[in-house]
Amino acid sequence: MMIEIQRILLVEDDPNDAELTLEGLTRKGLANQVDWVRDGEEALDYLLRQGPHRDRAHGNPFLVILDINLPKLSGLEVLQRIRSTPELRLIPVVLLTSSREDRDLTAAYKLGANAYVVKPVRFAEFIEAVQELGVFWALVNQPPSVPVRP
Amino acid sequence: MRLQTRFQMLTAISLGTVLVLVAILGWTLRERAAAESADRLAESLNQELVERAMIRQEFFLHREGRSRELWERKTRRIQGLLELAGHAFPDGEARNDLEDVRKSFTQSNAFFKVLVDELESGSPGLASAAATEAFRTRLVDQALLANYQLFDGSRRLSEGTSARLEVTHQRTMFVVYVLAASVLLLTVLTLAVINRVLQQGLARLQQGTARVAAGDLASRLDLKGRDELAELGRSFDAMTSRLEGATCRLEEEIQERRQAEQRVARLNAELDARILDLQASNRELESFSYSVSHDLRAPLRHIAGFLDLLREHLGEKLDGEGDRYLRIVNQAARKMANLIDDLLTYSRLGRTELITGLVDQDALVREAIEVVAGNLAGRAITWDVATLPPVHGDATLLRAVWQNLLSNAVKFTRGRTPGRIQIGVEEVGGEICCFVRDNGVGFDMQYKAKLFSVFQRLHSGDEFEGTGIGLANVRRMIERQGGRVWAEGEPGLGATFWFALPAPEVAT
Repeated sequence: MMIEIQRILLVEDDPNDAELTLEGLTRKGLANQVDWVRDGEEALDYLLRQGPHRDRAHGNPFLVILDINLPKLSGLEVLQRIRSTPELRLIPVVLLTSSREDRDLTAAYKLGANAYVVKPVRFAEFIEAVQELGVFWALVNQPPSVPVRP
Repeated sequence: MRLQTRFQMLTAISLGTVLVLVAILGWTLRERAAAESADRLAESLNQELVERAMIRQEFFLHREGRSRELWERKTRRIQGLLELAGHAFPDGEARNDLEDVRKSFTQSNAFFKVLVDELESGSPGLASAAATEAFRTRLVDQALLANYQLFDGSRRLSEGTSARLEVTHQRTMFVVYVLAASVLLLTVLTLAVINRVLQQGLARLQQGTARVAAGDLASRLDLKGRDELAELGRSFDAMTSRLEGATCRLEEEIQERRQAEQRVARLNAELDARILDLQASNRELESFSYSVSHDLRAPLRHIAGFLDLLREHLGEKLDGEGDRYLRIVNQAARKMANLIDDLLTYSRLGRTELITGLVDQDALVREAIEVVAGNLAGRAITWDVATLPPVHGDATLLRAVWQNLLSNAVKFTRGRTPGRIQIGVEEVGGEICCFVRDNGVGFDMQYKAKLFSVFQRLHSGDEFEGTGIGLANVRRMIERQGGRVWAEGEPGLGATFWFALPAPEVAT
């Protein structure tokens, strides 16, 4: 049974992008719920509660925001691991990336991404996109299996 | 001499010889027949004379009238035979003999007549019986003598004819032998001649053709003479010459082809190597543009993002000049982002594989008009859209082409009321030429070469925004589909942008 914690996992290697994303989420009051990791390997450590994240609370985040271009393991590889791991496969994953390449988009949806958002260059749009993402997945979307443990 | 002539001559000589010999044979046979009939005549004459002698003897013994009649009948018959013999013995000796026989015959007849008259009259005036008897005896002797002479002549005649018969018989046999021998000889001779001529000619032909058949096309028969075999040989030589020429040309051609094949193989190998190189550099380029798309854009995003944060952070502290600076930095970042996007599109156009098929351009144009009409901001545009034929191409690229051209037309008719945009088509020489014509700012034809190049702009960014890549993209997309682009325009009056693609039945 999947346990859900009220957290968003942000996987982003670029601190500037991370800060901007966090800024966007902050404006919707979601900043306190965000855990930020900087590469694909750490993202898997977090999700599987191993390595430096061995001691974190049990349960899955209700949303993973994933960049594609990541050190060590790419976002797509992380996505693949999530979808092939039984206890992780139902987590909603949104790709937030600067890549407009068709092949990335196609690969992402083939691997089971729930959304694919290209980072807009204009800050206002960027903030808007991040806010919509956070709000949609945090407040509007009903996750597939919901035994919520407060 | 021709073989036919030779054979004809041989035949004529043989026939002539045979004819002459047959004529000779005929003549000898006639001679022989004449000799036979003469011989038979002489025999009959002999026979008749003997019989007449016996009749006469009988008459002398019995003195009957009947015997005398018989004798006379025989005499007439002999007379007839002698007359016949006049024709049967034309040559000298026989004629003399016949003359003797005739003389003796006349004498013997005369004596017999006298004797018979004497006997019938009884006493011919002689005084005494003894004298009469003596006279009669003398008459009888005379008659006998004449008769002997007659027999003798007849016998000689008969012997002559027999001898002649023998001679003609021998001559006939001789002619027959000669004829048979001649025919045999001529036959053998003719066959030998034919054999020799054909054997030699055919042997030479056979040797020559065997050499050619074995592959020695340079050899010739070179038959001398004017006969059919020589003609055949010359024809064969001519044929061999042509064959040699043809084979020679064929071999040269094969050689050339082989060399060409080798060249092609070499070129192909080089091409394969080049393709590998190209593929490698293409992959490199791809990863390059991929990282450009990610890494070049990120700083811009950060510039824009933190500018906005800065603006919020400063709040009231930001004065008018500071606000203007921030706006300029922001616009520069945005422009840079657009440039990067367009460049990426441009480079992607060179790499992505075409998915070609028959494309309904009318639908593409409708779509493109809808898209650009969304950005009109209340401007009035008069559209004049012709029905376009389907073309053979990549729908995605063609969609981008139309959107590019139409948004250009919309952009450059800004300030015209109304803006007029015409979409049309002309089919010329296997090409479908589509155009977009506007009544916008137009351009100077001396710069038409620059229109379709990357980063080439004919208007300043203050007048018309843009990166200068749009038309370069259009050209790249059309050229990738086997077409071409060009433009016509006049400053202040408008411009017409053309692209031509092969008509579907011509395109492969």
